[in-house]
Amino acid sequence: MKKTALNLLFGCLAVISFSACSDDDENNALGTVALEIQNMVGTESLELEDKTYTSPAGDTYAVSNFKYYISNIKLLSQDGQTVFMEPDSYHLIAQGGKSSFELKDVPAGVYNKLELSIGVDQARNLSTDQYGDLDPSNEMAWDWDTGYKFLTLVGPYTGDTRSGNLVFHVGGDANYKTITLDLPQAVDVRTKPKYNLVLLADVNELFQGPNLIDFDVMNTGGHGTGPSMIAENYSNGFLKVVEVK
Amino acid sequence: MTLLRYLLLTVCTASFLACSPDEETTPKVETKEPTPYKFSIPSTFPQNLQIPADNPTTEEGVELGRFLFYEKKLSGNNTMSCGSCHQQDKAFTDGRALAVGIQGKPHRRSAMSLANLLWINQLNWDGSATSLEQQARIPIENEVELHQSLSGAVQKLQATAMYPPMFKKAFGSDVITEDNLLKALAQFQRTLISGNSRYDRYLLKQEALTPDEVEGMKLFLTHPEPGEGLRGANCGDCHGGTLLSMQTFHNNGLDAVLKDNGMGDITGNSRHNGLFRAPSLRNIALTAPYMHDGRFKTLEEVLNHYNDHMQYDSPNISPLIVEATNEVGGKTLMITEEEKRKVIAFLHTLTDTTFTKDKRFSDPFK
Repeated sequence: MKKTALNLLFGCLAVISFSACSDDDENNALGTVALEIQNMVGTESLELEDKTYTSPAGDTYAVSNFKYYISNIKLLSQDGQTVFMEPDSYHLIAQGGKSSFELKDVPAGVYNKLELSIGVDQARNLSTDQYGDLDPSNEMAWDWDTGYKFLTLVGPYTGDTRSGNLVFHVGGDANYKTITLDLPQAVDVRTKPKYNLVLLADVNELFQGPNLIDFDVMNTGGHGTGPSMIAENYSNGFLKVVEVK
Repeated sequence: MTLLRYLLLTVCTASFLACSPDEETTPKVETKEPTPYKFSIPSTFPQNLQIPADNPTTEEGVELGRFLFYEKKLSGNNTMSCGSCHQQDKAFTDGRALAVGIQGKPHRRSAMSLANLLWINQLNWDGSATSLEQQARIPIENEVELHQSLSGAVQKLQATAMYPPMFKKAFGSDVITEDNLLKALAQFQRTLISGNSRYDRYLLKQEALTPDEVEGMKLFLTHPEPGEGLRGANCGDCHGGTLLSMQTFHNNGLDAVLKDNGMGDITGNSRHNGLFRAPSLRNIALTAPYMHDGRFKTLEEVLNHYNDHMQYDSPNISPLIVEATNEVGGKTLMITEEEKRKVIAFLHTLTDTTFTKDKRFSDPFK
């Protein structure tokens, strides 16, 4: 009888210790990698509305709305193997809104590269299912054949021969772009459980490399489902990781 | 021995509870807790509901809110209620260009439809309220609306036999407060979910639309790109998504010289002058006349405005409208009569008669 009671006590204590209130004390096998994304124009921080910038083609412009989806984030080892993939990985980065998030439960390992996509993969793009920041009622919802706008940039511009508004809405499966970024320094979750990656997104890179966008020639676009010059540009040099801390 | 086991059991139970800080620690009082209200939300709508932590939606709160919504004691002369200008059969509008309050004077703006407010955090035409609790005070106290001080309304309700027990059931006290009155109205309005139009059923693959309606939908959702032969009526830039509103504010070019600063008067930012909420177009066929001042009587007039009568010099006009044309080098939208007709056919698929006939939303005094 007494033995049973003692067993019960031990059982109870065992349960208590397993269900300890904080869950990441002892287990440093899993780490957290936070991403902070700063929107820039060249070397200046992007500010909505009031600040004027010069485009690579020499036109002046301001930005009133700038948002884009980054998705399917992976951490890769030196040889390019995927070691960690964030589940349901859809983040709507918005100037004046969300600019950072955490990759959680990253397994122990050394990571040298970050892979991510700009846009939404076809399976999720053409559905109303809601994962991460996907929301068929938000400002990025477009139409049911094309899916989400992957990137929106709106603002006034003054070109050499005319002035008006930039309205770039880019979406469509053809414009879903996956890029791999080198980390300036390896992330080793075994030695440090929490890392911050600082990324810069340069708006001017949307307007060059490979396609120089002259606002006198093109001030709107991407509304179709075909390949977009802006999308070719955002897969080349738009995002980079500048700091690991 | 029995005592020891009892003790162990107690310790055990206590330690299990220790980790969850939300568990009730105070002894239960005798009042019955209100029953949480279960929302029924179509899968195409946002699933992450943002309800204020200090005003959870409950069956009792919603029921009270419904009575209050239709309660004429909330007006200065006991002649009107919220339901006077927000009539269910018109998707909670009043059919007038400008709302008219208890003194018979017109408001400067049109009564807005009430549907799917659960997802709106900048309410009214100008974004002047950021929660339904905050919003509810405005029409009660405004002198061109119900013109009743909230404190006076509380006194009137407290003096009735009916309301104190209802407040007790909903909020645990039969002493009526201004806050609880506003909270109950907010709770009821959160339940006004319209999600069973033909368009909703189409998106859920439960019903087909006619070819004209589908073409109208595509035009509605498309920003035109004439260089690529992509035609569009450009409605979806502001009224897209499953809620038929992007929750954004725009100047849609009604007047070259502004008669109403809209959002600019709320924020004090001159860039916001002339901006008004792009409201949801759900039940739009039932909510005529249109615009913040009700200037357009029909949907045809609305489409003619966007197509032919935009005041492009209007301050802060939306770039999404300015930069939209169906012809290369075109200055206006330039959709055809046939295309307008199809867009309007689509707009009629947004009518949800389940919503306009739902007994849970109707006047309980009738």
